[in-house]
Amino acid sequence: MKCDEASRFLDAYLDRELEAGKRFELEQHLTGCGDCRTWLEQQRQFIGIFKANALYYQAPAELRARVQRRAETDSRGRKFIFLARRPWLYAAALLVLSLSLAWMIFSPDRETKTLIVQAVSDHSRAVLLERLCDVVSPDPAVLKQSLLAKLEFAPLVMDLPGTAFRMRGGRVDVIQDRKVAVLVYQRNEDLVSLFAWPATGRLLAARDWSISGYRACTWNAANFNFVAVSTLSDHDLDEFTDQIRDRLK
Amino acid sequence: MPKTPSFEEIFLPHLDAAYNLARWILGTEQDAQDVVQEAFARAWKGFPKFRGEHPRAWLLTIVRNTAYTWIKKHASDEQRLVPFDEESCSVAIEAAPSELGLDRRNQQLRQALNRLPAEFREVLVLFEMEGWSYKAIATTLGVPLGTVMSRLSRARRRLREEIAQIQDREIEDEM
Repeated sequence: MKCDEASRFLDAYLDRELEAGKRFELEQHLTGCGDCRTWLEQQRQFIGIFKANALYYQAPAELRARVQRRAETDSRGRKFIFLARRPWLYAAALLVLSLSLAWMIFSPDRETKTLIVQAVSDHSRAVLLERLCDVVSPDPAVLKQSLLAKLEFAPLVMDLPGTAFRMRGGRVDVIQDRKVAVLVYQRNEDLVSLFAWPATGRLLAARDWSISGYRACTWNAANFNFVAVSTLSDHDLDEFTDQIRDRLK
Repeated sequence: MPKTPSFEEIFLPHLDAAYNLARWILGTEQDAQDVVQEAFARAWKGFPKFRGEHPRAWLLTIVRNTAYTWIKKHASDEQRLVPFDEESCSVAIEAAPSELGLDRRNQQLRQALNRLPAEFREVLVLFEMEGWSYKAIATTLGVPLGTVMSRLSRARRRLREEIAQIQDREIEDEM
């Protein structure tokens, strides 16, 4: 076992989750590798911060009361009048409304922000719920054909042979009430969702975004708008978007 | 004859766990409360199908699914989606630089966690705080075991980077 392979298993080793065969190989490697042993010790100490910290959120008393009351009401088979018992909901709704209004008035590019937020949440949800691809295929022709059947436009579909980015497939999503094609690429463990649709009217400016820990990149080319969303570093996401731009030329 | 445990008796003990998970996925107290309440309503509806095994895991699966549906639905209220916790972002620095109190480390860690993507926060919460096995996480998330392994390892790497950045910035601020 070499260091780069070992580094993939060190966390699982510390967590006592590594299966016996790999554990044996890793221990062999560790006896001969000071660097990996040092890293392992640092990581062990780092993970300790979770034990030493009070990170656990306790449910607020009002939530407990609400859930309890609801359970009791339900078990008696009575209808629960949701809104009437939650006057704070009106206050919250009002607050959200006023915040949105303030945002609309003071933010010059509100529409783009909404779009990015939607794309990021869509990518995040697809990764978390493992619903990344409706169509799984590394073949651009196959993917294009399948996506075409679900869209009102002909999608641009390109793979990136000879790069670190492997095409996994694609899906169709709705962003701002418009059907868009989403191509999914993978680089090592990181996934990229590339949203693309014909730019009718508004072209997206080239810009980088950082939202909720994800990186996003917008641009337009060939009369299409593009949004790439990923956990990749800025540098790697730039590399990805450069590759895509090259294919579009 | 032993009485069959009620919905409340089975699930209310796991309310903190449900809230904790929702709170970490969504980032704000209000959103977490709404989602947990909705998750309990869904759990109630699904209760007839519940077979009595692993109530905590069953409930948390509903919580996470409710949370993601909720995120999707509220994606246009942009302020909400950026789970930046105002309280933990404005870290008050009162302790002397030499004594890095537990409180401040705690703040740093919370802040750093809030800067991770939800997919990373979720595995950290389930493994580090809930103490689940890789296998249990894989089952709930519906992903292969290898994915849990690599996601957790990447999550910790990102968390270390974020903490280092936060500490650097605090040192700069103090200078």
